[in-house]
Amino acid sequence: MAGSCASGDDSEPRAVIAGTDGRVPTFVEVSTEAVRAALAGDGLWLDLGAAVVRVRSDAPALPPQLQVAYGCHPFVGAGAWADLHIHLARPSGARRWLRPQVIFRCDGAQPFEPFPADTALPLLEWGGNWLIGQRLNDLLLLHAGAVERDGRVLLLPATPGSGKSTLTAALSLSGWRLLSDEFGAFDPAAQVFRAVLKPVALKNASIAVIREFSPAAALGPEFPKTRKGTVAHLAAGPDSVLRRHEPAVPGAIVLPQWRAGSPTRLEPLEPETAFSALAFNAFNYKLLGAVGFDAAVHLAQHCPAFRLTYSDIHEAIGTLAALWDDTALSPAT
Amino acid sequence: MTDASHIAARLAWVGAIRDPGVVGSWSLPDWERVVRLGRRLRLLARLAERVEAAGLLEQVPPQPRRHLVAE
Repeated sequence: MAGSCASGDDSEPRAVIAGTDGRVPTFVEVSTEAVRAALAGDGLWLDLGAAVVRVRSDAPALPPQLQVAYGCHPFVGAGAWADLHIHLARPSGARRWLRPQVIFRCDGAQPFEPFPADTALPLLEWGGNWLIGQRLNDLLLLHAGAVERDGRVLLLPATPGSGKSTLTAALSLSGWRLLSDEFGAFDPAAQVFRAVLKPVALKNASIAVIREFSPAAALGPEFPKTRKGTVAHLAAGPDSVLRRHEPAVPGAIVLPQWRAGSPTRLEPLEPETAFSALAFNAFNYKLLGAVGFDAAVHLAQHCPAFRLTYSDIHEAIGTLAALWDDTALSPAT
Repeated sequence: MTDASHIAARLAWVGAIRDPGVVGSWSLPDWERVVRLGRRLRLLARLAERVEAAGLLEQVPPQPRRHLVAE
């Protein structure tokens, strides 16, 4: 969690801002003023694993929010390359001072309406997700949580409201490596999943669920009254950050469904059901054409698939751990 | 540099659509600018097509290559 991120990242190739020992510091190890200065200058290079995002901003609220949400990520103030370029800017005119706002820009375009200035982080996260979904079309981007254990990825494709992010967050706090709570980023050429390591966006009741599940979890501030209700961000843990460039093979597909009062049930699914769950929960399935189809078929054929219905997060985690330990679940080939 | 020559210099990369051989001399910062501008001007797919047709895709550094392939 954020407080235990001092291990740094010796492998970081892009840093020009290094600690006294030559190691790249993490966001929690630098001052808020340093974050503010970097954002207002050339920007910060956020290495998510499968993509590098350059962020510039003069929004006063963003630096401390970024420090919590990306606490364990390396603080990199100069880079040779970024896949995505985001500028969060204060508007000119009255909206700079009167009910101030913040604007999301990328490559000269402004794809969204401005947000209230104090919600810079949710705007960065939603806008960043939108950009990733638009741009990284060398990957099949499944709308899914993705976590890894023993080198295999547990994919949690689901529609909004199914408890995907809550379950992904709880798994990441229970010894699983977080790849993403939003993107199951499958590389069709290498047939592996890649991390798109951003904070887990928790909404409404999920925030309290995760606070209770792990009181030490590095949760950022709560943003009430967003268009998705109250939102808070869980920072990725140090192991997930250090291993964000490490791919992992497909392991299993689990369709989560939170239902109040439901006993925990894990039911096997036919490959056809898994295929349609993948195809219908992908950002760019149609765009990729035959490549997307072949990738979804590969995953459906090689991964055992289940539907998990649950109401108790602890039971759900235990059930998935038992599933993973099952010797019948051999690595996909 | 005049405004006109500055603009001409900034758009010199567009010539790669006619003569894709020039991409071999581009540095990573050049490519970063080309990918951003090419996407903004809706020319990236055309450039990708020309680079691939000329058999030069493998000479493109991996960071920009993925964006060309993705087009």
